[in-house]
Amino acid sequence: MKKALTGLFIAALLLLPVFTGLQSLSAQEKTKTQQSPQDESSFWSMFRSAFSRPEPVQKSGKGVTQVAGVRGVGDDAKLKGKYDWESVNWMENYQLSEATAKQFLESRKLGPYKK
Amino acid sequence: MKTNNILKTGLIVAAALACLSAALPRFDIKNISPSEMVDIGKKVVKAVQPMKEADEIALGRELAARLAGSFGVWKDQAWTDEVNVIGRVLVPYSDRPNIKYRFAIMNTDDVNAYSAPGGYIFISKGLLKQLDSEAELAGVLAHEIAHVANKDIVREVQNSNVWKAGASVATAASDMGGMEQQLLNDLTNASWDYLVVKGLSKADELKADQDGAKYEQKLGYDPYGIYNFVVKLQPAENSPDQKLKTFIGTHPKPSTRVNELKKYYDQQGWSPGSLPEDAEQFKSFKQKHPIP
Repeated sequence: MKKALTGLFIAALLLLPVFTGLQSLSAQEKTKTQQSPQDESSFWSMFRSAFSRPEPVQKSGKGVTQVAGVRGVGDDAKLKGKYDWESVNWMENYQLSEATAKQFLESRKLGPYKK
Repeated sequence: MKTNNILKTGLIVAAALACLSAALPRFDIKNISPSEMVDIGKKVVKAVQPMKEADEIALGRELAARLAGSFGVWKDQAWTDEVNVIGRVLVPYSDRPNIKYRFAIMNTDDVNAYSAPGGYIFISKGLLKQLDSEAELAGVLAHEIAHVANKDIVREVQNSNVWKAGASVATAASDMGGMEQQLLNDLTNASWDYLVVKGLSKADELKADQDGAKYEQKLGYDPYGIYNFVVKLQPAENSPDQKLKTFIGTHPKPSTRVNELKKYYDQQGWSPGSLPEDAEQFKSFKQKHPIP
């Protein structure tokens, strides 16, 4: 029984790189074959799908806020331990209405409103 | 034929043992129980599998919190709206439009922009001051979106020993669906080094320039936006002042970027000024909302 399991384990180990390699390749291809929106409806469908996704489950930093203020990157070592979760939450909760985005695109004749 | 088969089998076994010894230095195959075997299998799987999207976002959040904590965030409403509207409308034209990108302005006069995994993108106040058109702003944001789309940081950390060594820590955690906090901290440290200290590879940066220009062109802005911004940095490439020091130190030389972009534009058949830059609109916006 032990021998059989060991054999299975080694076989799985050998097949793993093949399997994960294929999986990663297919994921890469999936990313690269993403079609750009061809018309107004597909643009807004993609826009909604990206920006209406639920927020991630917050695993760390709840309520912890340490703001360093304006700094250069020269003192990098000192900066490593500074976290500002309040700003991350602010960034995640920022709302931009579809109407505002549409108005912007129409006024600049961009995206689905290109000439 | 028989010798070949023996050789092949030998090579396969040797490769398996090499993988095993690299991944699990204390592994003793003779004394392993079935449950230990399952645990070890999980560790190996974790070490070689691509990072899950949820883990990427968790890593991005940590890095975003550190960037925000280090530089501060300038929460000016008008500029935040400007950066967000341009950033967000670029997303459907990117190679990875299916994640939620977020944009914020770092409260520093240093000229820089960063993209953390999972779509957390920062641009500095100092960089905004350098820009002369919406196409330039779109070019910079598109470059950062391209880093996220190409998973440049994720790839670097996945290739690092932190990710491989962290596999055992991760699987020891009761929550098998996510990363253990210690691994997350280690990965954040490694990512910080790539993002802020060492910078990404020259190839990744040049690819992000090209992909960014492509997204920009698809949206309808002049794809020379990123080029026009980088050209402005050329005079400082050999003796950058304090505000440009990190940017120049963590990116390929502006002259290299300009030359590579020119080649790319030629390949695509794009000429400067063929699409709008919206320079006048941007100028009046900047006058109305001066950056302190």
